[in-house]
Amino acid sequence: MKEKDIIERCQTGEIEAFKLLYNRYNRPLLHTAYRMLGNTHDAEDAVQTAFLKVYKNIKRFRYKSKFSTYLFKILINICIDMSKKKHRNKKVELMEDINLKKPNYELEMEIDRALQKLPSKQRECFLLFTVGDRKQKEIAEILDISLGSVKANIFHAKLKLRSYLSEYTEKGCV
Amino acid sequence: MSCSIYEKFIFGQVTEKDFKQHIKHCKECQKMIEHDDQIESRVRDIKTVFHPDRLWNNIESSLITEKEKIRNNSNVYRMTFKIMRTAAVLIIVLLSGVIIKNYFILQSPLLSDTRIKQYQNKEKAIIENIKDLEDNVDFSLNEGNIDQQLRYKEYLNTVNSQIKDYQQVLDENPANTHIRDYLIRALKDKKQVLKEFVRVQRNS
Repeated sequence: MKEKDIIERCQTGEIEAFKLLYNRYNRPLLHTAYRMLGNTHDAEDAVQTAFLKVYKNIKRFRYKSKFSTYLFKILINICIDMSKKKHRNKKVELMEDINLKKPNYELEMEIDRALQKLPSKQRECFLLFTVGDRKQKEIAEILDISLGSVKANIFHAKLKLRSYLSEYTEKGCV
Repeated sequence: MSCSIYEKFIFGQVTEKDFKQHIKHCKECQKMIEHDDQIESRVRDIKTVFHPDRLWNNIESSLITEKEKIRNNSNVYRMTFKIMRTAAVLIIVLLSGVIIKNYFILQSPLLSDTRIKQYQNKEKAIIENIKDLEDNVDFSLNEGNIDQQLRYKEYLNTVNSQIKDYQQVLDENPANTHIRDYLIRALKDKKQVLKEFVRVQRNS
């Protein structure tokens, strides 16, 4: 089914149509939110809030951008708000998932710490590009910045991650 | 990092073709690409297990709650709208009443000089008739139906005081149409009562 048809059904308030959108986007959304927020619980909360927000506002969606751009824009804003709240409450909990207590979890934690150290725009650009699987042009639309700025942010994010993770790089883990 | 070709390629300063040629022999760029690919794939490779079905159940129930809320809100909105519409109609009716009262009833239209003269002539003619009738009336009430004559006399006193009031107002504003009309009506009343008075006295 075409995405436009699904959206039209969503605009009539049909919850079943939202499930189709959810099935299409839940993976990149969850992964992006997870990398931005650092834990599964918050990531799921962010995706749930994003879908609720889409449900409330989808009648006003006028196809000025791709639906995925619209959806990711909402998710990124929610993640930014949630991280701000987390920082305010000084409850930064990194990688608390039981699922991560596996042989590789130390590296996973280190990657997450390194990501959290990145300036917010660099992290958003890099995560949308890698985990969110968005094209650079779409990232520019999602974050309301220029394409050049997206390229620069991704490049500098990679440079910084390379340096933060140098210990693991040398060990050959990364 | 001494070689900057990779950076230049990313920012579009070096073409893809040139860059491909370059990395064939540049170990540094090869290493950077390799590292970047590894970092990207490591960031992509999330070990956490998500439960999309469970999450959908949560989302679905929150959407259903929201749908109910929207429906209830729209009912409340519809009711409020109906009440407000009725209230608005009532307010408009009341306001129209006030406007009509203030502008069309209380504010008397003013007469032109010619119309004032016409009214004055009419009043003069009636007053002359009244004078003639008054000459024929015996106000001492010595004969005939005394009760009826007393009633006429009493009524004449009332009309006289009305006429006096109207004339006082007209002295200040001779162009007031309504008071002119009331005066004419009062004078006609007086004339009629006097006629009756004369008739009753003649019969007796």
